[in-house]
Amino acid sequence: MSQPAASASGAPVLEVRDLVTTFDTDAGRLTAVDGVSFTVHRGRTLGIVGESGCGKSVTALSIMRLLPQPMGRIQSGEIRFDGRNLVTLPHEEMRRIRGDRIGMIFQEPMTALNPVHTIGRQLSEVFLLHRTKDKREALRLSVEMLAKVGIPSPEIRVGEYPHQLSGGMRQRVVIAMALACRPDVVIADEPTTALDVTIQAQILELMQSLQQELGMAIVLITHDLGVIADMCDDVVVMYAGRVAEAGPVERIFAAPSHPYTRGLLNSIPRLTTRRKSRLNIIEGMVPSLAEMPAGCRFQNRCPWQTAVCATQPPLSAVIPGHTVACHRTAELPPAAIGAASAPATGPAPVPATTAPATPLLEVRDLSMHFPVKEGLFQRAKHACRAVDGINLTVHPGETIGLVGESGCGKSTLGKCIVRLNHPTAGRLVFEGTDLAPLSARALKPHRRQLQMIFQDPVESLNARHTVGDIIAEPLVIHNLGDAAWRQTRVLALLAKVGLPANAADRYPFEFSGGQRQRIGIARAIALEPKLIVCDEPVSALDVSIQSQVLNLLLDLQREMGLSYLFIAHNLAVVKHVSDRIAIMYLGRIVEIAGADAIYREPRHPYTRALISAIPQPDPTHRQERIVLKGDVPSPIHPPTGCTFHTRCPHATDRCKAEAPALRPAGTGDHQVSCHYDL
Amino acid sequence: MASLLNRLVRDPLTQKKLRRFTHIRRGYWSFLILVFLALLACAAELLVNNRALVVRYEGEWFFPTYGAIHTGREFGLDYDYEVKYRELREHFRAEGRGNWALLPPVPYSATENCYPGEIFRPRPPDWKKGHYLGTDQINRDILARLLYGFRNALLFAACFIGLTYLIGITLGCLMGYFGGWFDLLVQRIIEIWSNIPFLFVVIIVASVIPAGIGMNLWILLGIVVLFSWTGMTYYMRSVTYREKARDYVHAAQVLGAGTGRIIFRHIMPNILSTIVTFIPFTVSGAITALTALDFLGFGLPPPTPSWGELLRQGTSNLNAPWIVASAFIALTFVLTLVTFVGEAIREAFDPKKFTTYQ
Repeated sequence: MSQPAASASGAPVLEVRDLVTTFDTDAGRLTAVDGVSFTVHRGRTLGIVGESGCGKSVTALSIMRLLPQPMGRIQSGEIRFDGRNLVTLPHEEMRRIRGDRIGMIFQEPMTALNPVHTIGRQLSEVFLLHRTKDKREALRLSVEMLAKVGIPSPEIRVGEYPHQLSGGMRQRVVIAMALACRPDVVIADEPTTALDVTIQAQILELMQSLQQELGMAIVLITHDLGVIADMCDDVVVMYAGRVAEAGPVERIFAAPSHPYTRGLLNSIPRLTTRRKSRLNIIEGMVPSLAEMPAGCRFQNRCPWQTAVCATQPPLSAVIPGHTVACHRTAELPPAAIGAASAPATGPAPVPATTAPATPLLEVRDLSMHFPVKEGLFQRAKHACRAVDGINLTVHPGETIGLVGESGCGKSTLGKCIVRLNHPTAGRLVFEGTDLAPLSARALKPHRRQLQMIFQDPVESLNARHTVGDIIAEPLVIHNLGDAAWRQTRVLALLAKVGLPANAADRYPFEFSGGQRQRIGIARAIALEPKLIVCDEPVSALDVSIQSQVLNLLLDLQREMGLSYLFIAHNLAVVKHVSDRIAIMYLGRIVEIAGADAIYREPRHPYTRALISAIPQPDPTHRQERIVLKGDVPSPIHPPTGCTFHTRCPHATDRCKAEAPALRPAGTGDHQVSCHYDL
Repeated sequence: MASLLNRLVRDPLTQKKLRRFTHIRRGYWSFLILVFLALLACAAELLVNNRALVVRYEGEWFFPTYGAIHTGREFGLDYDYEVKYRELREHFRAEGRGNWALLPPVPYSATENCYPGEIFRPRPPDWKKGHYLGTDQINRDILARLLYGFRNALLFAACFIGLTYLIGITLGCLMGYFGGWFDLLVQRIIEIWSNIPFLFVVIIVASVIPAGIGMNLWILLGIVVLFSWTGMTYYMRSVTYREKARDYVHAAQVLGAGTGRIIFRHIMPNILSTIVTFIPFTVSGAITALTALDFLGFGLPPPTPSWGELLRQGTSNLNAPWIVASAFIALTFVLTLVTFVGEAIREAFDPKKFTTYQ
């Protein structure tokens, strides 16, 4: 039944032609997908890449005919699959194709699985719908399928519920469901976006090996250029509902022809980019569907825009197989993009501050243990060791990067430092005062020096306050100036973060994600603090917006002499903004060093795995990943000895018994907590 | 509080929802009709009343509707108690001296015996006399009783909402925000409290109230509120729990905002807009509760006009179907309108409007 991928490649299985999908909303009819065409071949992977609102997911839902009803509708176009046009297929037949011939992998493994049914039951359902009438046979097939997606002891797992599995395991179950009937096409909508880097590496590898075995075609939708470069054979770059550029992956990354593709590839921070340099950015943002410019949709952000761009550019071939929708392809200078190229323009990097004698913040043996209550009387039986004995020093004007997977305690540490959490033990010496034991009242004057930028700009701004109120709030709370002074201060802050003055009277929802993050930044700098804890400040933002915000943070640091504690899971982003980087695992720092040193010569096996797991946006360098086994253990019952030994490829008996301390290694202030010099 | 409301109304999100509400025609029209009825009820004295609107007597103008009592002697009649304006009108006509009195469209009050001296019996609708819906078993005009009863019900509902929401929101918010033992303690108290049978308390209280005070709208309101505020706390507690964990609250804490500021400036505005969807259903609940109590005889004391009392009369006088029909139709009509408004508000405020999958 399974065929080798190579012999099957070439035959188109799915062909989308001039697809137009619209949504009826309060604002009228919006065209989310406008004339998109592409072909998917057997055994190959097609990547669809673009920022949010570009119509990637709507394209996928259109193929599956799962558009939200009654607003969503396929207006015109064809989706040819197996000689039939899916657009006009009756519901009954479409239902038979879904799950059987075309599978789908969703982004969020928690919501894609039904929490009240066992894994086995959900997986059996697919078989019962399409393959067999016998329940026992369906369960047997389910166990087989779970084994295929690499779930250990599948015969036990079929009886468990989704919440009993980790995120990575859940995504494996979702993949098992999508592949259960050996479909011809699998549509994966951001399959790894919700996962950690090391888990992402596992899942991507799984998808590749399953494709080799089953020979299906994959449509991979993602915003991550690294994942595209790693996984895909062909790429479709979408922008504002249209195809901007399409072609083979090597061609797109080596010779991007559309200004948008070029901008994207140029703007992302890479591990090889010079630290703290200004990133090349694409100005502005994706226009909303309601106010699309006529003609080329990229024109308002394009540096090469001319009069001809007011008409819609046709999708024309640069070379056979590589098509671009741009009028000026022939006139553009050749793209200077490669994995090793540092941005050509931009001012010199921020001069490294020489560390003065007095540190701004000293964290000493900081621990945050959350009690885990059990039993009838809710006694605290265990402690969740979210942060377990952290030592960290932040000097004025310095950026410390804090990297780790979800659940490693990095956000908890950040919250302890701004005292959103009350640490269980340890000291937090900020400018000579220990903040850890202070009451809310005694803390208030210190709060002026210590601010925070949050991950989600939608959540962190009160939707019911105007932007002016939001930015003025710190001034009101600390009783600074009168109303008129605050007003001028708000306008100055808005200008500083690059927002127009009329923003003050508007509400957060009127702004895009990047602009909202700017509002959050303006609020954080309103009190002119010395240290800002940035908790994943760009991870909720689109690729092209990320670089804008990173540039803003770097500019503000230069102007105001700020120190940052920069928490993120994306090592490339952290490396770009940081002076020193600390890697966290299960509540402890496993390695801390200068940002360049940690990337050039990582010493801890976890750091090495993290770095190798990051998909590089360069299809020519598909390096061997170090794929870690399993998941991060629970911080309630951390492993004995070195907490990393359960996943470490180099673990010995000593690691199981003895916990390593942070010790100097290599040059400078490089410290690592590992028994061995690897 | 005023600034809070102002903030809510100014908010473009709310305005968008209100705009959406006006586009849901059934609900919007129901709302307009209800507002119109409420305005009618407010101006009930001008429409249904046994006092004249205007009296012209010997070149002088009198507007007796809202003023002090005029005695018969003031208008040249031979008695010292309040003027009977219907008789006064006939008297002026008969005199023919240019004096006149203008009475409301329905010239009867809600508590007056319209056929003094005659036997008590329900009389069918009589358009000539102005008893458009007939009279009840003690010769009172049904339309007058309906309208004033509606006014009482509305007043009751408005006060009911104000008080239950005030207690429920405040306590629920505090429980959600502080959590811990305070939350546990108040929850247990509420559970015990809500197990006290409400009807028995009403009966007991009604029997122990000193005769000098007597049962009235305010005591009844107090009792009903005392047993109704608990429902709101459950909802408020859980939404406050949820809101408290959101990043905008953390952001305010990092800025150094105090508890009061966080609750009133940050959490409240985010919750209050969702409470609007409950209001219509609370209104219909309050009207139903009052009607039920009146129907059972534990509600407002006679002769207060009320729909429940009319229904009771109707069911015991089924040979006079106009009584039960009037009360029943009025009650159904108003409750249907309120429900339509509620549905429309819920739909207009629903963030996930029209999302179903094939």
